Amino acid sequence: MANKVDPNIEKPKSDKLMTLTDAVKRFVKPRRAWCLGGFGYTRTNASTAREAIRQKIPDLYMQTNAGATPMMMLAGANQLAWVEMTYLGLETIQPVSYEIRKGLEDGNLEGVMDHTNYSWALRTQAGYFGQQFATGMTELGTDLLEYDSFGEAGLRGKNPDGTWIHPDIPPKRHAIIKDPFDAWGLRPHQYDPKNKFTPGDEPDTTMNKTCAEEDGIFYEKLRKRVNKYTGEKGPIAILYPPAIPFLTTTHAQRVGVKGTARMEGLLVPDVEQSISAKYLVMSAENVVPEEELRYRPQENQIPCLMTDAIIDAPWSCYPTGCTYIYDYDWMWWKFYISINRAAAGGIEGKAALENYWRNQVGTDEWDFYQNKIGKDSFKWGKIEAKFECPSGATGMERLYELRADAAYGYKPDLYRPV
Amino acid sequence: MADEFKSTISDSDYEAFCKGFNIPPDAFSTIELLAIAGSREIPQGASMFIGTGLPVLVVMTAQLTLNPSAIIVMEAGMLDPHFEHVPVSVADIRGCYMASTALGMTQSFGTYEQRGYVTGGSLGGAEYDEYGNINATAIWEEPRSYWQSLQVKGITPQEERKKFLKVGPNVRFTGSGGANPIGTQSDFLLTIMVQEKRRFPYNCCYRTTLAAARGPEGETRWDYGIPRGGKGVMSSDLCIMENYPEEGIYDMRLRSVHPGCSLKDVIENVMWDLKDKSGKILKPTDDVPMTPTPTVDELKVLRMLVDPTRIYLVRKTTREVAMEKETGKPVLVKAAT
Repeated sequence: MANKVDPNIEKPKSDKLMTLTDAVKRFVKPRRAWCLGGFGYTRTNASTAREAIRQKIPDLYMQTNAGATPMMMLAGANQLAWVEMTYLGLETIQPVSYEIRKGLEDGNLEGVMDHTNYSWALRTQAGYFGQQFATGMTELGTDLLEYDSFGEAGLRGKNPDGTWIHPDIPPKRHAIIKDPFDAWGLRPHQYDPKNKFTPGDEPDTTMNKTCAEEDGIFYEKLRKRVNKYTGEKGPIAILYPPAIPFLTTTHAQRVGVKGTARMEGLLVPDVEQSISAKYLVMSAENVVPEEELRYRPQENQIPCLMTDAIIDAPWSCYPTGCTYIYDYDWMWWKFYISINRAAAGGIEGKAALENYWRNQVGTDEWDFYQNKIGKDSFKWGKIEAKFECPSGATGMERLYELRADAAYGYKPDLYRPV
Repeated sequence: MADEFKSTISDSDYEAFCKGFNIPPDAFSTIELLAIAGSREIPQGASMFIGTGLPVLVVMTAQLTLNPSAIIVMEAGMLDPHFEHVPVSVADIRGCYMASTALGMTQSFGTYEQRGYVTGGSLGGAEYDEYGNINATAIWEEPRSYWQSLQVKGITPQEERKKFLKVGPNVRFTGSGGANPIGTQSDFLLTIMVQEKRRFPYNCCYRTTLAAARGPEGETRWDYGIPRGGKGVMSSDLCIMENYPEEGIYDMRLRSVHPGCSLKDVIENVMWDLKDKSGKILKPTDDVPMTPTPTVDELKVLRMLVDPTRIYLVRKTTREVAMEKETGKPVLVKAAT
């Protein structure tokens, strides 16, 4: 019989449980790849970024698949050295995160390594499965293959003693080879065009119909042309090395005391990114007894073995949302995009933005939640702004205003003025 | 075809709605034109990989007018959602409402797209060239470059970087996000752009998304090993352009000019010689087709069902803002009835 869950259990005890302060101190290191979970406005692991700001850890090397919010926070606090990412924007509210953009334009942010959402996803997929590489249909013919920042900076490859120049950076950005299977695996697949084996059968049921067809044979156009990469005729494949972040921090709605974790709503890049990492820190909206998750193990994504540390971190995603629990705070972004233009104001403007972040994160998460949320203000030069929301709520009151409707997973009447 | 669509929204409800926002019921703005013109470009039942902003309006309008079987795919992992509230991000949880599945990035680009279940993509960008290539990464002029201070200065402590001269690109944009794989893996690409001369160069400074070709014959996407796609349609705030790769026409040719705009505006806002489908270089005085005017029935759907809180519809193009400044009144064009 399975262990019964004691409903009166005081607080789950775990040897993996750490405070946010200790976890960041232990795992976040300058110039070691730190992959932050979440995407855009959803389930971003913002509390670890806040704590890194409190601890003033410099020269951070951040990896993310479109997790612009923590990137923006750390760039605003002037702690980012390198970003390896796919997308710098906040989409609707600010197409390009301004402090990152200015940091790259004026050299304050040392480097960006560009990927696409799919090439990075393929890298994390290879990392997730422990594969030597993954292959996909992306980036061919574009300048993404031409501009390799880490390669140009000499960060790829090996030292004379045989060690990697940087342990988190693969020796090549990608590799292109002749497809050893002659495009057999591409979809739509040409099963049996003359119906020799299956009279009456139809072509591949995929919705895509284009397939570089020539003379009625799929992908023949590729077989007849000398391609620009291998200099030979025939289909090619692009290979990506795995992502192996030194650290991934991911937020989940529920994490068991031994590290089993269940995310709800969109998974975005988080399952693959988490399991690819050398160290995985799971931040939990709720730390729960393992049994609560093990009655339905098929719904869990993170096996307990992979988790190195657990942080009890309710409201951790703020200002982004945590699906089914709370929505994003649109009014905070309304405030912030009016102040991050200070990043264009040279050393003084950047210092003013840095000061905002140093003050705003508070002394710890509870100080932030109770005393800082909704009280943001900024003044530098001609830029002056104050957080405003219709109710005037601040602190925990504001957080509770953002509670999600269970039917939707978000707050359907969230006020979102443009 | 748009004439065939009749909305079930009553005129009185629609007029009351428009009155509430102080907008004329029978005239449209540029963003409304772009959304409706784009919605007509989506083939019946297409599975469309979309980003946020205008692409959301385009596909929702298509679904709620003449193309109810069109499918939405979003890159954070949603397949076939039916939005009740407009998402502001491709990972906004509003984008999951009534979706068939809501998984992750490897599934959206791999399981849905690479596997062969995304027929079209809808994108925007910062630059758009003669062949339809898109730049969403960076623009620079010498002595600046794409390269950042990492290449110029090597690894330097945080404090020292404050003393750096400007070394990165002149303007840095978002980077690819999903734009590159969407363009590579879809059968066709619908691009929506604000058309300004500087944004329509002969060649993009950086090619983030590949079109049918980088240049003339010998530079096609098949020469670079891409096994799918190539068809492109571009709808700007002035016109619609299209290529015909199946006929060996890889560059973008003018198809129609939008109502309220002139061929002269279009010619003056590209850096290359604008051609029609036959290859004729166009002069401002030539006769060219006009994009079908949005109808009031389409406007009813767009305004009341697609974006009723006007998160996106409130936006104006730079051209509209300038004209408003000049004329002192909103730039609106009469809709078809």
